[in-house]
Amino acid sequence: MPAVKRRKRPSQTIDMTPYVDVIMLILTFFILTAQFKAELAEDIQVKLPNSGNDTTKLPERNVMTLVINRFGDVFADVDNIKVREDVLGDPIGLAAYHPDSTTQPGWTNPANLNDKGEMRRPIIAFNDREKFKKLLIDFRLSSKSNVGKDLRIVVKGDKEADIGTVQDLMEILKETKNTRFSFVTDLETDEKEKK
Amino acid sequence: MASVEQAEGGENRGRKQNKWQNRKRVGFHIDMTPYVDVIMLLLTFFIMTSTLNQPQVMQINLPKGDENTTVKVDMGNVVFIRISEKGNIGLSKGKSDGTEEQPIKVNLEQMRQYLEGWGTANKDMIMILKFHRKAKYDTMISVLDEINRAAIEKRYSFSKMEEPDFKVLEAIGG
Repeated sequence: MPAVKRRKRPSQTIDMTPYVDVIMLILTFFILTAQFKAELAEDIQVKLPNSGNDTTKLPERNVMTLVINRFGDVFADVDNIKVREDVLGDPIGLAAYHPDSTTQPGWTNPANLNDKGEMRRPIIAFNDREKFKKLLIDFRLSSKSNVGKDLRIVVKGDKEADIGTVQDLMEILKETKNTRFSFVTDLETDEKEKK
Repeated sequence: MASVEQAEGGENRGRKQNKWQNRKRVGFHIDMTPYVDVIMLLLTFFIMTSTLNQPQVMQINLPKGDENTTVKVDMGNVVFIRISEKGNIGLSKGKSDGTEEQPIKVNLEQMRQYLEGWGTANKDMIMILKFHRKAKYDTMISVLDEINRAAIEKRYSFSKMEEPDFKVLEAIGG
């Protein structure tokens, strides 16, 4: 079939412009919606409880996070590095406190804290209740002088944590005049609601 | 790295006349592939790092004031919600003479219905929540969530569980 053979193949180019346009749109969307988390207490893993009725979103800036893990440890962290350095003396330090003196703190074994089994942030342990209370007050004061705004407090508790620990923490918060705080929850999925 | 290819007007070179008019303009095109590659990488990065479900928060306001300040309430307005170690809910209504009615064991759904019923009948209803220390935090959030969901005035306070409360809970099966 010489006729076919002789036919010169025109170089085939696909016009990529519409494709690139769409990709750019998607890219713009993701760039705009992306939120970079200040490496908050991510090193400690908690399974959040579900709730269906909260419409308030987690505040983004100026937050003090109190993480309660399933071993009953309380970790206090702020998202501002300056405040952290000011109060803890370590820009990446993480304050830890174990309210229940009858059990062992869980942070002594790094494998308890996250999947990777390694802790990148040094833990500064507080064994004394009064000192931990002072820490919370210092966090607030330091944040006020460094950032100029009041800290918002969120409590991130593990599903499996004992209520006793949460109650101890609530008492400490009350004694330090932090009467407004929030519990962090995950949005309840519909299938759970049917149960 | 995008290569720009432009054809020279090869055939028309030798001719003197119509030098300018005859030269055919060949559309040049930019190779977009590397560009698309980079864009795709960026896109993948942002999709991977974006967190779509932002956690939500449940606002709690504790009463201000000292530990010693006591507030007197009419027992007739009080509803006790007790959570046992196993996560069972005991619901009982206080009476004006200081005692309380027989506790009933309810699930979350029933608790909301009872609370809605009592809350609409008595606008001054106050809920007192007593949690067993060993109960799970998940239960606490579920109870608070259910109270928030109920169409009543959200007046509740947390209280410590004491000896009589354990007995009440035992009566409904712990």
